This record gives sequence, C-alpha cells and structure tokens, in this order.
Amino acid sequence: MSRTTPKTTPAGEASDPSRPILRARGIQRSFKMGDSSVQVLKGCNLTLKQGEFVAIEGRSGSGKSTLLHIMGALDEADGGTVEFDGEELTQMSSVQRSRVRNKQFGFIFQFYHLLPELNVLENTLLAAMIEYSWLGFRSNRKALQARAVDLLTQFGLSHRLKHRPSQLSGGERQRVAIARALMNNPRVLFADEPTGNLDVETGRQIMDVIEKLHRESGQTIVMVTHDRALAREADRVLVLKEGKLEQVE
Amino acid sequence: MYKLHLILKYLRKRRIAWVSLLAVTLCVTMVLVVISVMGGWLRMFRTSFHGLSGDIVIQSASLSGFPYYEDMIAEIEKLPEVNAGVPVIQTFGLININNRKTAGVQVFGYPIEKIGKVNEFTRSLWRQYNQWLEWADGAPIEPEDRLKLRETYGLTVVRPGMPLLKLTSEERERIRKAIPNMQAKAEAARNAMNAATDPADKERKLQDAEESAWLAGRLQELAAGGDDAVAEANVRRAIRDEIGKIVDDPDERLAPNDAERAAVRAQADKEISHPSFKPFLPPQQYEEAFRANNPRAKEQFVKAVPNWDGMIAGVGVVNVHKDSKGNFVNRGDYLYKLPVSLTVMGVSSAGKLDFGGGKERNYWIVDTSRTKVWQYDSNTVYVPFSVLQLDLGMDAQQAEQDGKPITLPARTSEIHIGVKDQYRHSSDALVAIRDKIKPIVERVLEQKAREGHPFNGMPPTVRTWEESQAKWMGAIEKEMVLVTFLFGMISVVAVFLIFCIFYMIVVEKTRDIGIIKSVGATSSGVAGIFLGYGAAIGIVGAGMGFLLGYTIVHNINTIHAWLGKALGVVVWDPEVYAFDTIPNTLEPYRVVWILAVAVIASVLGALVPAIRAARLNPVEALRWE
Repeated sequence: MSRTTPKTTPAGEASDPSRPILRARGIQRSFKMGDSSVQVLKGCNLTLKQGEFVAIEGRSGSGKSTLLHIMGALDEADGGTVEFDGEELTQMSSVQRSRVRNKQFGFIFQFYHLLPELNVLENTLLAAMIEYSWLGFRSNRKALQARAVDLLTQFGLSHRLKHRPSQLSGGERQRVAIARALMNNPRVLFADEPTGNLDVETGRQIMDVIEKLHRESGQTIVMVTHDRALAREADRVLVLKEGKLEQVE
Repeated sequence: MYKLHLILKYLRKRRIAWVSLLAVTLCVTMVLVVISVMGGWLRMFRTSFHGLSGDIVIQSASLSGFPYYEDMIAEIEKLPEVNAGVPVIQTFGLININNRKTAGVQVFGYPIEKIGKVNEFTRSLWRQYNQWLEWADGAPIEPEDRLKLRETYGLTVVRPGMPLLKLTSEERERIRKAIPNMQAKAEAARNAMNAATDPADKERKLQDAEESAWLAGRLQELAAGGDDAVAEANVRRAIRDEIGKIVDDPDERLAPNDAERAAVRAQADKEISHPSFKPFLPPQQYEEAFRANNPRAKEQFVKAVPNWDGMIAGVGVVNVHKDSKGNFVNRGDYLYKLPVSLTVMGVSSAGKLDFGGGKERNYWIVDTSRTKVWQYDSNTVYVPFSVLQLDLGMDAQQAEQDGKPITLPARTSEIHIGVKDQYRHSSDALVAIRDKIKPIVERVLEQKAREGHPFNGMPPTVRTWEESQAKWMGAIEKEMVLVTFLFGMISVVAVFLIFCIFYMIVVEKTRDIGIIKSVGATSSGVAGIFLGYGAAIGIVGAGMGFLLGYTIVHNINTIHAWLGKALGVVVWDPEVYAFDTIPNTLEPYRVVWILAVAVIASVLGALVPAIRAARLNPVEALRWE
C-alpha cells in the first residue's frame, strides 16, 4: 500500500515522536451575531507532535473551544486546513470524520456530557459500542468490558459500575468521561476546560489523572483552559489572543 | 450495537414514549376488532348466501321460464364434478294467513326430497331439524313438548315433564317465607306506578306492578297448594329471576338427559334425510283447526282440509323473530294450525299473464325456515315444486297449433346445481364447471330445435353462486372497505401522535445526540436510533394491540351481552345484522397485514424527527440547554 500511494503515511512513521500528528494551518472561523459577523479565529497555526501535551489558554469567548472542536473534527473551519496523521480532515466525508472521532480522538468536556440513561460502564463502553456492529460487539464483549472495567478501576470507580451519572459527584462524572474518551485508545485526547465545572480540590485530582496519562502512557493531549496555572502543567502553552495563537516561552 | 442498546434503554426509561405505544396499541386493537367483525360478518353472509343457492345456477332470463330442464339436468348430472341438479321455480305471490295477514311474498317451488343435495335449505328448517338439534344440545324441553314428543313422535325415552315440576316441601317452605317480601314489592310497584306522571314511564311501571302482583299471587297459591303443588316452568323461572335461586332451576330440571339427547339427535337425522312438505298433524286436528276459524264451513269441505299441501314459511312471514335478548318470540305449534292461501300468477310460454283458474291454493304451514339471510327470511315462502309448476301453468300442457295437437313442454325458472364437496369452496373450480355446463344447456336447446321444438325465448344464463349474488356481496364488501378506510384515517392520527412525541424526544435529547456524535456516531447512525425506536414502538404496540384485539374479538359476544345487561346498550341487533352472534374469528392474513401497517406507520411517524436528529451539528447540539 505504501508503494502505490506514497502520499499516505507509512505505518512505521506513526511512532516517530518528532513527526507531527496534528497540524492546523490558517484556521479561520466566524460566527453570525444578528446582522454582523464576528471573526473569532483569524488564522491559527498549530502543530502537535506525537506524545505532546499542549495547553491552549485564553479568556472565555476567545474562541479556544471552537479551535479545539475544529481540530477534533467536530466542527468545520471557514478557512484553513487541519491535517491528522498526514490526511486532511477537511477533505474527508462526514462518515470518515465520524470514524476518526470514534477511533483516533477522545473528548473530555467541561460539563462531562454523559448519557443519563446509561450506567457508568455503559457510558464508558459507548465508543466501543459505536465502533462495533452488534455481532462484533457480542463476540468481543468480554475483552471490551474488561478494558472498560480496567479503565474505571484505574480512576477509582470500580464500585460505581452500575450507577447512573445522576448518582455520581462531579469529579466522578468527569473521571467516567475520561474513561469513555480513552476507551478506544485514541491517538489524541481533546480536553475542553476539564476542571471548569469542579471545585479546586476535585479539579486538582482530574488534572493529576490527565497529567499521569501523559507522563506514564505518552498520551498526546490538547487541553483548552482559561486558567493560567493549569496551563502551566503542559509541555507547551499557547495563548489565543485576538484570534491568533501565540507561543508562551 | 449502540443503536439497539439505546433504543432498548429509551423504550424502558422514557415514559413519554409509552403514550405513543398506547396509541399504536389502541389503533391496532380497534382496527383488528372492526376488521374481524366486518370480515366475519361478510364470511357469514357468504356462507349463508352460498347455503341458499346451488353452487351453479341456471337462470331463466324471462318470467315465463325455460323448457327441457329435465333433459338438461340428465346431461349435467353426467358430469363427474356434479352432485345433482334440481329445478326451482321462483315467482311472486300474495299470501293470506288465516285472514289475519295479507302480504306479497317471494315464492320458491322446491322439490324438497332433492333440494338437500344442492343447497343447505333443509338445514334452515325449525321443526324438521333445528328444534331437535337444540334439544340435542341440551336446551330444556318444556313439559308440553315432552308430552308432544311422546305422543306425536313416539319418543318413549322422553320423561313426561309435569311430575318433575312438583314442589318439594323445602321449596314450599321457602316460598312461604318469600311471600311477605313479594307482596311488599308488589305494593311498592303499584305505588310507583300511581306516582308516575310520564305516560311511557307509567306504562312501564304498570307492567312491573302487574308482574309483581301476578307472582305474589302465584307464590300464595303454591304455598297453599299442599303436597301436589306444581310450579310450571314459567313460574319457576319467574321465581328464580325475581327472588333468586330458592327453587330448583327449571332449565336444569327440564334439561334432557343423555338418552333423551341421543333420541332427539336420532330424530333430527331421520327428519333431515326425508324432509317433507306433507302436513304432519293427525287429520282431525286440521279439521278442528279449520272449523274453529270457519264455524259454518260445509262438512265435505272440512273433510278435504287435511289433504291440503304443506308450505314452509320464512320466519319473518309468520313474525317469528328474536327479541333484543336473542330469544325467539312467536314460534310455536299454533303456526301449524293456521290455514294459509297463496295466490300466484302464471306467465304463459308466450309471455302473457295467464288468468286461467286454479291460481289460488290453500296450504298448511308445516315448518318455518330461518336461513339467516334477512332478504329471504322476511318474505319468502317455500312450496312443492310440482304444485307451484301446476299453478303457474308451467307444467306440460296440450295445445293446438295449426289444427294439430301439440304438447307444450314443462318449464322451470331455474336449475340449481350442487357440485361435489372438493369443488364447492373454490371459485376457480366453480367457474370451470360453469363453463362445462354452458355448452350442455346450449346443446340441449339446439337438439330440441333440430327435432322441431325450438325455444324462442332468451336462453337461460349459467352463473356461479357468487356471480348470481354479486350485488349483495358486493355491497357488503364495499361497506367493509369503507369502514376500514375510515378507521385507517383515525389511525393516521396515531402516526401524528408518534411524530409529535418523537419530535419532543429529539428536542429533549439534542445534547445526547451531540454526545453520541462526538464519540463517533454517524448521522445515519443517529437517524437509525430514532427509526429503530419508532419500529420498536410499532412492534411492541402492534404486539400488545394484537393481544388486546384477540382477547376482545374472542370474547366479543360476552362483552356485548354484558354491555346490554349493564348499560342497556345493544349494538348488534340480531334482526338487522341477520346473525344472532357477533362474528369472533381473526383471519391470520388480515392480522399480519394490520400489524405490518402498524409497524410501518410508526416508523413513518419517527421519520421526520429522525432526519432532524441526524442533521444536528454536534457542536451546537452539545451547547443545547
């Protein structure tokens, strides 16, 4: 395959730590506000290397979540390109983008976004349930469940498997959300204000979890936050100011 | 995988969806019940119509009939598929029942000994068939019937009824105790009657008061009657209905035992195998009956009376009908002592009204027929074929043509043909046989023409029973289509209900849709959740609707009886619908159809909400509050 289509990335290169896994170039995005339109992103460039932990800092309303959504294939830019692993997300069909979100990306949101009807284990398994057909899920069920339980145990939730999200505390919910995001072994983890809805103590615990993921498993992470102190924990901090990204030394 | 999982979760956890489930269930139930009742009704009509007519009917195009029917029947009966062919004359007449009722009637001339081979007419007879069957099925035999069975039919096994109805000492004691209550009740009823102002109400209360007073009087008589006191069946029934079960149930006491049931069943078989128009009472009873109505009749005329021919009357002609409770009224032995005269008008082979003599004839009613098809039962009488043929001048007659004596052939108006059982219920087979019979009819007429006896009238038509009854059957079929259509329209409401509820669910679940999409679900996957949800509602709703509909249809007569008793609602008037019971069978293929439509409709109701859900932008959906 690599001989006939030189443009696609050879599998061996994926593990090259110096190679960029995600590259955003000239991202533009504007929103309609009544009659006028506000340009939030005015050409953002970002290159993310394998295993890197990058924080994007900015005031609320600066467009940092929008940038994260565009890089995570949840939203589309008005201009610019996003390349994931050498392929342009903007050129993909919606089904292909869904597949990338399912298998390559994981998301953590400020408001956890768990499904209220599903219990902790089922919420964690959601990505796997979406990936597999009914038959495929049935035949891999033991392994998938073991993985979900393993993740939840890591995050100290092994006694909560059958609970519904409404029965959990904020910190517990966010840990379930992290477990869900990691279920399919994503290449990139996107975190959108992961501690924004938590008190300082719980927020600290969640940050520890994220940091540990990066440190011990080499997880590539893009985190968005308005908290300068939290941003300092990343390898690299970028500030989104007036629609452009600036590197902080 | 997640689709199925979420559908099942939503089905269990979202209560609002249960409303749409209920709507589907009720719609399916409603349509099932209506279709089953209407379909069953149509089927009963088909059976009844088929039962009345031959499988194939050769019909004269003209009132004067057609000749050479005997040759045709002989040829037709050679066909291997054919059981028998029977000539039938159908005409109209004027009936006069004992100078009390005069009415225009449809008259059928049947060769009764053979008619059983081509249609079910003999099974519609009361005296010669159905009364025996009712007794054989355990209907109580009244004391007077028991006596009659023993005296007229020599059924010695039948226990005389009267001694059975003697009171026991315990019964007499309990009746004595009930008297004060009954008298108080009669008093109260009289007072209520006096207090009533509305005339209709007063009338009803008067009846109540009279009945209570009558029963109170009978109770006193019985209590005073000593050891030989006898409570007749009607008195026992009144006591049972009024006071409760303080006496043996008369219907139980008079129920035939096994030996009696076997005896009456044997009698039914015996009578049905030799149905007859012959007056069956002893001659002196006919003489007495005639003398009672005509006290000044000459003796020689009275002596001739037992030799009159017999007539079978449709139940409606002699006012035998069912009351709202389903019991027959006016049926009784008095019918068999009513002299009836029937006037018919012949039409000559030349197509002219024949005013010759002998067109009025006296009959005794020997039986009643209840075919369950109202058009027949209300105004049809049946007389012997040969007698009617004679009266209509359709028999073979001597005449003169160009000075030479010739014989005008006998005529009939119809030939009814019965086919062998294996062909009876297939329309295609009947059409095929019809097409074999057509040329036979033509051949016979041609041959007669070659022999110098041409038939100049319109040739008779050959049709299957369905073709000849198409007008009525078509009307009922159309009615069923109409009702189905109307209820289908109502069911459209259910589709809208599903649409609204699903739309609500989609709006409510907008953020969840965003979550599912962020985890990698495709748009078509999200649409699939809601379509599958709709299908699940449809499947479960249709299943529950089937169970409910099945239960209702199976118990519809019980439910109807209860409605009648508790609320006085009688929807199914046996008189109007021609059948005493509401049809209660489900046809599998109709059930499958209805259930399939219910599922499809539910999916359709979910379609627009599903498309909306699929089109949601995940980021906007996640921000949804």
